[in-house]
Amino acid sequence: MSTLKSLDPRINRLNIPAEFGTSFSKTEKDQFITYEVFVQPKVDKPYQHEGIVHAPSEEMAFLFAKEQFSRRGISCSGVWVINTSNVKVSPFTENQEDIYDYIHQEIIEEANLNDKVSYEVFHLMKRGKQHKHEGQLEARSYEEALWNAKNEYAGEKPVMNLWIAKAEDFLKIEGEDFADIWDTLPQKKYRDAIDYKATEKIKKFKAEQNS
Amino acid sequence: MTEEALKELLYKIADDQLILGHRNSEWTGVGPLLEEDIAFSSMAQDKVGHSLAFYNLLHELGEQEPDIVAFTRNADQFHNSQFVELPIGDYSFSLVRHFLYDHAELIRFNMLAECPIDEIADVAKKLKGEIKYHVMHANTWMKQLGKATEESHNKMQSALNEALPYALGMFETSEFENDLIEAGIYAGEAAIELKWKDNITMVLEESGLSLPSWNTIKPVYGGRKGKHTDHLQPLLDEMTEVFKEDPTADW
Repeated sequence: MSTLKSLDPRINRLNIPAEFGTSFSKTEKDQFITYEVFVQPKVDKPYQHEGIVHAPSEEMAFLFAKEQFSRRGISCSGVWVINTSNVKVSPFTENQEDIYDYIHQEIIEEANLNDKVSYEVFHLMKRGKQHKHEGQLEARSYEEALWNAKNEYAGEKPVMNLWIAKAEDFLKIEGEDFADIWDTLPQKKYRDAIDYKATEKIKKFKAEQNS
Repeated sequence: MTEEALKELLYKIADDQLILGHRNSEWTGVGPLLEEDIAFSSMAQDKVGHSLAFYNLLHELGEQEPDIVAFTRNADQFHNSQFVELPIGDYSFSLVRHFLYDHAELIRFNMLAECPIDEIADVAKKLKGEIKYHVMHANTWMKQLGKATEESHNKMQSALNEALPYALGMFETSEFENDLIEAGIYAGEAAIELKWKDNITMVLEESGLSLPSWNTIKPVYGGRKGKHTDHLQPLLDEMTEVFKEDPTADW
């Protein structure tokens, strides 16, 4: 008996495997590798994903990230960059399903255990929003990190997508030593087009033309 | 210390920043990588912003409005070092100049942040974080290209050899040097030069680039006293083109 397949991309996207481990790395590119950039808008705010830069090294990725993603805005207190292939990405859910509901204890039973290290966990709560840093936890494998994340962070609000990466794989430019590189950011409103208030000038110009 | 001495110091700082900012902005749109294009342009914009802060200090001391000072002087009235007016060359030269210049700038700003004249210290304190990033940017590129390939290494080395005599010209002393030092405004050009040599030597070693012996390099002086290369006037002509079209325009 043949089954009809839907052509609706919203349904096709829902290919969530019953089980998943760590086989979901992003694919590599045939140019400069990419780095994911996370920006902390204020000291007490979580880091959030802002975008991607191409770079030959993480140090250069930071240089570019700082100017691509923190040259505008009210303030900034830190930037993290990480090689894209070091970020483990879960499948996406739809319809208010919680990705944590797909993580079961079996995930850690067959995992290879290494030394305990720190992992950073990021949540995407809604399509179109950014991944936000949820917290740091310790684990002996990515699988264990997923399981620990479920126990630590699963809550009432469904999480639609998870990113997990080892803390040691990030280049983190933050803290007292670097705070001053963003000191003048609040005074750089001229970098936003919205700071150019031209409406009155245009009206005046038009009036002069018509008179 | 006379006001004239202070003005001379502020003019040379501001003019260096304005001219280098303008030069570096020539890379906008044609930088080697999209991300670097934006970063380098952004730093060029910072430099022009820094010059505005210093022209404002000069205005408070009785000089004309920043726009008038920036856009109506001829080449021989500029106090910038010849180093900053040289054409952008290829990217290796622009990067090496950025590296040599910003290391000196950071030392200068750290000194000025301790200046007994509050208005100057405040400007230096406010802006030195930006220069810290400029130096991080320069160091990272030097290390990257100094060691990447034979071609990149050779280009960086030859740009360095070409730039060094002009870079030393940044530290040309003024007739007021001792007055400024005695008044505690800053420690003077010779002190900046000494620390600068230490700092750049460390990064150049890490970058696999070699420094010729300092006593074999003849500094190119003159810029601080209004003696410039043929490259400055065309730069000024271009920079002031829009301003001269309508000096009263509001934009």
